[in-house]
Amino acid sequence: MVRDQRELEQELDGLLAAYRGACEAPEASANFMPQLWARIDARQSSSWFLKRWTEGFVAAAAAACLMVFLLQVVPEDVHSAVYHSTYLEALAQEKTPENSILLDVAAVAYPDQYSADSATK
Amino acid sequence: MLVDFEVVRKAQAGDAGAFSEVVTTYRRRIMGTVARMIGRPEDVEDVAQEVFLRLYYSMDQLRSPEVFEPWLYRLTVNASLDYLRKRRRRGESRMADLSEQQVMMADAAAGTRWSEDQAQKAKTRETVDALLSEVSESDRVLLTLKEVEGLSLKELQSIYDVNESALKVRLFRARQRVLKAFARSKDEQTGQPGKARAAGRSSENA
Repeated sequence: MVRDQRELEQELDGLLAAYRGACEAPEASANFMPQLWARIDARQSSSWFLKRWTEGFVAAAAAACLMVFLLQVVPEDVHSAVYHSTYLEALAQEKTPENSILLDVAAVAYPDQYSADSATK
Repeated sequence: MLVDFEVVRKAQAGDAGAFSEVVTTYRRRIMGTVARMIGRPEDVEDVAQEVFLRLYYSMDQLRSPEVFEPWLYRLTVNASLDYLRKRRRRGESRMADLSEQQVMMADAAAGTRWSEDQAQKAKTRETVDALLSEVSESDRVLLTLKEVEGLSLKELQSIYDVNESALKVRLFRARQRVLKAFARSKDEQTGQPGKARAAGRSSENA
């Protein structure tokens, strides 16, 4: 049995050695190098486009981040009525004909807060 | 080493002439290795070009020209494995998957006139391809590098970047599977079921 096994292993080794001889390296065609350089160039141009696109995307993202950061950091106009009053109070400061109509309505709804006197202030 | 370290260094620096020299020097060897690993002559050139394409784009990652050859082998192994996986996904059949009669018919259709020697070589290729199809693609490549290409364990270690004992275990298991398939095919040929298979089994238990 052991001899059989050894014979089998030897036969397999012989077969694998014969396989090396049977699989000779094929000759490269005359186009091997030109085709290789064409593939290198093709990948180079596609990677160049991808690189440019990525650079543009990164620049746009950086600009957007900067803008958001500036909006967060720049101090708000602390004296503006927009940030410290209610809508109607802010409206009261604007003296336009439309506003006075709205304030009249507000005065009817909330007579204590929006009387005719406060509207004229 | 088939080329001087200086040529590799120049190629690393972007010298197109030096890179062409590297390709020309190693082309035949790489094509032979690829041919034995993928078992499909018509795709050898394509896979070899892929190897050199990867080489071109990863030259800057090479630490030193001294490790150039194992590194080129690693690229060859990876490109061959990628090809084998892609082919499996596509569900393509190899010549080895066809019956002998179908192969002969395909050859006749191609108008090829085979000498006795060529026919014997084709038979050997067919037999070994069928045996190697019993193991996974990665084991096929590993076995081919060890048993057919004749690479040492040390060389394989530098290609695969794993320790020797892990490699030995993988090689042993793959070889046992191939040996078992070989025993089976011999049984079928001789018409004596069990004789060679028993030998294959005993080697497995050894």
